[in-house]
Amino acid sequence: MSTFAVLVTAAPFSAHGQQSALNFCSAALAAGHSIEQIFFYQDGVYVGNRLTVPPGREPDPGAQWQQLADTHALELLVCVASALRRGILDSDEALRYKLDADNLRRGFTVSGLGQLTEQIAGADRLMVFG
Amino acid sequence: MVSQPLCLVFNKSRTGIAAREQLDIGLMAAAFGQAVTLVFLGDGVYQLLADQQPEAIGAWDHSKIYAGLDLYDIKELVVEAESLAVRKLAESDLSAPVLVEPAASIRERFKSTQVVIL
Repeated sequence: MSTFAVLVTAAPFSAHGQQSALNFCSAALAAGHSIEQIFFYQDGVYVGNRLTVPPGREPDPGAQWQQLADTHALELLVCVASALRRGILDSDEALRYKLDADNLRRGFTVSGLGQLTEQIAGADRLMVFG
Repeated sequence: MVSQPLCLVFNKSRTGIAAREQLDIGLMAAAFGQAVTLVFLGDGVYQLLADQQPEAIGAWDHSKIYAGLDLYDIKELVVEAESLAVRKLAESDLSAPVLVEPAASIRERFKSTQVVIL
C-alpha cells in the first residue's frame, strides 16, 4: 500500500484534470492506499468556490470533492495566494481584505505551499493533475 | 523532513502570473531544503529569453527572477538542447546561466527523480 500526495492545478469545467483527480483518488482509496490531503493550486482553486451552479446533471467537481472528503476524512487545501488572486476567500481572508463576501466551499481550507512541500516529503509518490 | 529531490518542468511559454505560480512551488520546496531542478522543454525555453519586455503588453515581468535563483538555493536550470535548436535559439539568448542537455539525459533525470511536477 502506498501514500499519495495529490496536486490539482486543472480548472474545473474547462479541463478534465479535476475529474481525473477525483477518479484517481476514489480508486486509490477504495484499493486501500492512503491519501490525507488534496492540494489545489493555480486554476485548480476555482473548485473551492461554493457559488458555482452547473446546470442539470452535469458533474459538479466541488460537490464531488466535498463528498469524497466527508467519506474518507480528506483535507481539501487551497493555496492562499492562488485563491486570493482568483477571488476565492474564506471568512478570515474576506475580513482581512475588507471585502463584503466570502465564498469558500464547506470542507475546503485555505493553506500555503509549505503544506504541499510537507505533503510531498511524507508521501511515496506525488500525483499531479494539470 | 525527508529529502525529496524535485524536478519542476516548464513546457509552455507562460507569461506573468502563471509562470510565477509554477516557479513558486520550486521556491517553497527550496526554502524547505529540498534539492530543486528546473527543466525547460519545448516552448518553455521562451521563459528564459533575455531582454523580454512584458510590460509592453501589460504583463507582469517575472523574467529577471531566473537569473537570481541561486539566492533562493535553486542552482540547477536545465534546458533541452533540441528545444533550443528547433527554435533557432542559442544559450547566449538566455537570461540565466543554464545547463544545456540533450533529451536523452533529461529523460534519465526524470527516471532518477522521485518527484516531477509538470
